[in-house]
Amino acid sequence: MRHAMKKRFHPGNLVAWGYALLILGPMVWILSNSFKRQIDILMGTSFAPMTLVNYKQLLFSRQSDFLENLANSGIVAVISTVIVLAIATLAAFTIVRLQPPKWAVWLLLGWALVFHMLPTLTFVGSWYVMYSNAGLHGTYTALILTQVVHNLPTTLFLMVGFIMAIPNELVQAARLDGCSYGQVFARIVLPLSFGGMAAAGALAFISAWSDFAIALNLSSRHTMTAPVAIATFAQEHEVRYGAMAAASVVSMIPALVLILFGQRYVIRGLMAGAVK
Amino acid sequence: MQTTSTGRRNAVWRIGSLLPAALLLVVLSIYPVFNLIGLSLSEVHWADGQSASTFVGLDNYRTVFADQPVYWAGVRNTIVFAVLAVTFQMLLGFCMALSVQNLKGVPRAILTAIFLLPIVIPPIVIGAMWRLLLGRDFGMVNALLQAVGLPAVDFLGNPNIALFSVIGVDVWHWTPFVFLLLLTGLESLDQEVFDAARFDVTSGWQRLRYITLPLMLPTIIITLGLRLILSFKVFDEIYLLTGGGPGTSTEVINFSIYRTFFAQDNTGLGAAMSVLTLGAVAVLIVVVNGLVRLRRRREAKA
Amino acid sequence: MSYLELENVSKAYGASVVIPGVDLTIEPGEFVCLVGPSGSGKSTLLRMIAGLEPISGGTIRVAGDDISNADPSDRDMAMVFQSYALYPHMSVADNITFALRMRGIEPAVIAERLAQALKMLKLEGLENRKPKDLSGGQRQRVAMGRCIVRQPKLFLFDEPLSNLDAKLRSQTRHQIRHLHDELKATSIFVTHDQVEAMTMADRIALLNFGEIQQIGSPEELYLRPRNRFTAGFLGSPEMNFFSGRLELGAGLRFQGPALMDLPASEGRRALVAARCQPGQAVDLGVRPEHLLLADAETPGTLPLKVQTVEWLGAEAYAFGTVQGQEIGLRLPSDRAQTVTLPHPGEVLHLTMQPDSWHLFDAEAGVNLSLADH
Repeated sequence: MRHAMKKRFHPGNLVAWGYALLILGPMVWILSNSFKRQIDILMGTSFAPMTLVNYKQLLFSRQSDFLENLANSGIVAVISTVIVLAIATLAAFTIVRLQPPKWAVWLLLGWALVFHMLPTLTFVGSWYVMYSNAGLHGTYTALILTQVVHNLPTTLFLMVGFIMAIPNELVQAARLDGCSYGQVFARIVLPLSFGGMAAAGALAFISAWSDFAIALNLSSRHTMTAPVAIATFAQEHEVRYGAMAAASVVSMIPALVLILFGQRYVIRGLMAGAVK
Repeated sequence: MQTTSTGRRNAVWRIGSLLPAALLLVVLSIYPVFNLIGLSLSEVHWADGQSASTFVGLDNYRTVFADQPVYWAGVRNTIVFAVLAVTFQMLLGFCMALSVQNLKGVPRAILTAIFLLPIVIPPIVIGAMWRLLLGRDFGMVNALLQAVGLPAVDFLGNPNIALFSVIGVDVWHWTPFVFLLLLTGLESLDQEVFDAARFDVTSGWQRLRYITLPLMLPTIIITLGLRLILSFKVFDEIYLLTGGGPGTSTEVINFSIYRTFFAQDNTGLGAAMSVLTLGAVAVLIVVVNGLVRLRRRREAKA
Repeated sequence: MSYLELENVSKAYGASVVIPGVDLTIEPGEFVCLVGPSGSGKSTLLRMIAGLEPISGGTIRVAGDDISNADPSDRDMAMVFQSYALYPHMSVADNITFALRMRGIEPAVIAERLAQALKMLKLEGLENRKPKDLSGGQRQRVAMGRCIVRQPKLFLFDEPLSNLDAKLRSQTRHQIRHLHDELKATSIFVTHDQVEAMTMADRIALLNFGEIQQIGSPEELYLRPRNRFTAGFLGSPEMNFFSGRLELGAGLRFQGPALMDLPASEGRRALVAARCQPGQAVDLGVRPEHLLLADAETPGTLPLKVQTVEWLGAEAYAFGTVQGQEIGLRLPSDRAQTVTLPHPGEVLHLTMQPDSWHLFDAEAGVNLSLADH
């Protein structure tokens, strides 16, 4: 039986690109909504006159603290990312190459994995009590520390993976050359880990920036982050759709920037983290 | 143990490099578990931002089992949610991964970038987006339905549909992640095995059943287990989409805990719910882990 | 009618042509080796024959049927891959019988063929093991078992010995050839190793840059190479090449690194004289085993300053540099056996066995000293 070789066209290809549209669609929709007046949104007009009023109100008016909220999100996200990267990379090197005691490995990798999988809100309750009693409720410190511990498992696993990829021979050669552990870390491991740190850092930043459950309950009015602010736009009686749309668009910007410029780091982080 | 200065420096390094991580984990993730257990056995009063507890034994637990139908509705909803959402994510993600494998170059980069979007966007924004889209009166989805002559659907307000709407949003959210994971797995398979199969296997179905699926099984199981456990963490989207309503139709466990702890200020009860939930998820983790290990051991023996 | 006919088969990737056009016929029962350096297109050609790679032009016929566009599963060929490509999730028995099960052959027949294959390949007792629990040699045999049970028209081998260590390689070489004979099969074997080609093939097709340089028996390619590429590819150590000019006189002489006599029979001398111009630029090729030691300072010999000596027990070789190239000669066996070897720095004087040398056109590489069929 002779027949032409099977072509590479699959109907599934359509599904994939269709899904891509399904992803872009809502974003475009929300983008367009952010430029509409509240009235137009409520009436569902598709082609309303574009206006910047939502953004102006959101960012620049006296009633809105959103700019401050954005700043808070940024502060918490950036600082916690830097800290978690430092802590995780330091620990990862020791775990992978310096034969730490068993209990340390169990705690840092085993428990961390379990902790990562448990529902965050259960811990939020306890954190709330702990921070309140310590007088730290609503402080940047509380938020940052919590984000660090929340992202520690993932970042730790990622950095362990990346450091494992650095051949042990390099570490051994450095030790033969007379380096102490600290010097090996600073001169050999750290420079070779920058790519991995970028990937892990990207994920940690996204997680901290997007966090809602923690910030909702542990932040005060002064330290409120952007996601919490967005939630306040959706009160029972009067949903401020325009503001919600505009705030959503602004909140998406870091993620979009990351994808535009750091796509491969994000992918690297996602894939490495999941394979474990 | 060396006592040279380098030896001491190294010892300091070994301890010092692990200390921050260990400390954080102990203080902020292990201690809270005990804290919760303690709180769950107490009645807690708040004054001036400080808590004061009085021991009440298992009262809170009794309340949970006897007097909290909302919590148990939440349990049921959470399970339904997890099973359905993950099932659809896996099916959809796998089919798309199959069809897209070996796509290269610019189209692939574009597709990947687009599929990354739902994963990196704050979940609260996803909730906000879909709240706008699924709105009964002016949501885009209903507008489209009506444009083709179908009646409008109250996605978020109809108690019978709301849970499925929320599941739909979650599927939208996570299918790309499953897709990317499975795609990576597919493309890491040894292509020569597929070449060898071309001599014996004529149809795509045969290839799928005899070669692709068996080889992908480990990846699929791990992805499935991971997504299942992580789906119990859902909170943000539901908060914004439905706030647990209408009624209790989209109440999930996390939401119950949130309400009890913070809206009702009932710390002891909330703690009890948390402990129970933690226990249940822990059991689930152990089970999934055990299944994965069992499978690995069975494979090694054969 | 030939078993396999390739007529002007070509392959191009977009604008780049990797195989301009190949003609090849293979008779039933033949063992043909496709040899060539990396990138010569031999694997591509094999995959085109198998149907794994579409052809850009030409036709492929098996026993008269045009299969140029047929699916691999319809060509009734079986292939052993370089990395064996065993199904990792199936046992040895399942791997071997997979093809038969897919084709719906009766279980009784399947069981019989499986038992036969296991016996032939000495795999008995390993039926239930998975590939990851097998040694390299065992995996190789399973890969062959997979092909044997299908009783295909054609066996295709894609460098199957590359992943084996040296000792296993020579054992397996013999096994494969032996199987081929026992099964009265027709086989195409791709390799870059000329030793495998020389020892296993009935005929060798030598490829370079997608073109066949020469097809023939190992003797033909070794003793009567049609071009410089073929001459240099086969043989280890390689043939020695010198560039210079041909002098036609009473005898043939080669003006290269030195003025060298070319000892020739009458027929040979006449052939060369007829083919070449006096003073023509040619490359002289002489195999290491055809170089002879002469007395010092005899005219017409090539002086060689010895740099390296290799003693292999039964044989010994001496190497030096001439015209920037490494030149080697095989020392007489008595010197090898008594281990009386030249010292580095010693100068040897070389001449050659009569008629053993070849002259290649300096530009086109064609062998000018070859008697036409």
